Amino acid sequence: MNNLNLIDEKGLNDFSTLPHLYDKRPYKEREASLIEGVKAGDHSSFNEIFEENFPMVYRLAHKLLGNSSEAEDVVQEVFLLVYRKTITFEGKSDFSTWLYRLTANTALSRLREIKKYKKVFVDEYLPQFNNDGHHKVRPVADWSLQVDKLVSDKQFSGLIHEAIDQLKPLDKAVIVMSDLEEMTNREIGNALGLSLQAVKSRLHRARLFLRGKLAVHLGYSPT
Amino acid sequence: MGIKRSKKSEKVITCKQVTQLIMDYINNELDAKATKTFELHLKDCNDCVAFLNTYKKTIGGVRSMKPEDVPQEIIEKVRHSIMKKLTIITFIAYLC
Repeated sequence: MNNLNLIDEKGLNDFSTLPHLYDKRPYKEREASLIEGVKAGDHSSFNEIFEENFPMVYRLAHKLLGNSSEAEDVVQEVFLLVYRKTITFEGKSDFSTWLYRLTANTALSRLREIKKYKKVFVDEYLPQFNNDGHHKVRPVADWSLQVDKLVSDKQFSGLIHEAIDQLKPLDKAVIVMSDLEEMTNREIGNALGLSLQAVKSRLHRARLFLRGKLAVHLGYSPT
Repeated sequence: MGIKRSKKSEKVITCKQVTQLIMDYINNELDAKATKTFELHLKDCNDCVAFLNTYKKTIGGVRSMKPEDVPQEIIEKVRHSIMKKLTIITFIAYLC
């Protein structure tokens, strides 16, 4: 095995003579060779991949799980998977998409375990309509200008995080990836194994729920 | 407000349908005909204008939340733990 050769020749953590250490190109341009390095068992290549991608992996895990301790565990699990599974990465998708998928799957599994006994009535915050298709509660209040004031308040972030936390794990992942991580719907679909239509549908429902929560917070009907 | 009468040739949609199309409208993913129908509804329906404004503002509010920097101590803590485990994994592989 290549990694064993490296250990034999240079010692367990001594990779100081590897050529990529002198490669000053930006990370993205070196990513492919770093991945090959990890496949060969090179810890310093792995360390560079870790360094570059840690913030994204941690942020996503933290937003999905809602606390640092769980996020740290998930990040560790994800990067150990990266080390073990990079050999199966064929480069058919972006490495970042592959990494998002690993992170989302690992965090979602953990989230489902935690959320097993919690039940949230999301439908109560979604818009409702009469049989003729009109809004059930009329007039619909336009509280949009009040949100500007709320955004500058620290409470806003807490309110949104609390609301996001009440969503089903997959809906939560979709809105976090879309509106907080600024991923495209296609990227989200690839990372979560969902069709484009399923991503859009879940995203819309999650946004309607957050809108409902904001409305209630401001003293209006959610519907 | 409800939808007023429209010209014979113009398709009329309900508030419920507007709500279903709202995301595609914001993302400019509706075709020209659907956009026209959507906007025609908005012209006569203050309820849906209010709904659209609050929906858009919700997205804007969420997106305005800046990602927090990850403390360096957390990065180092996790890195140390991972590298320790990797060393063990590699050592075991070496022994096998």
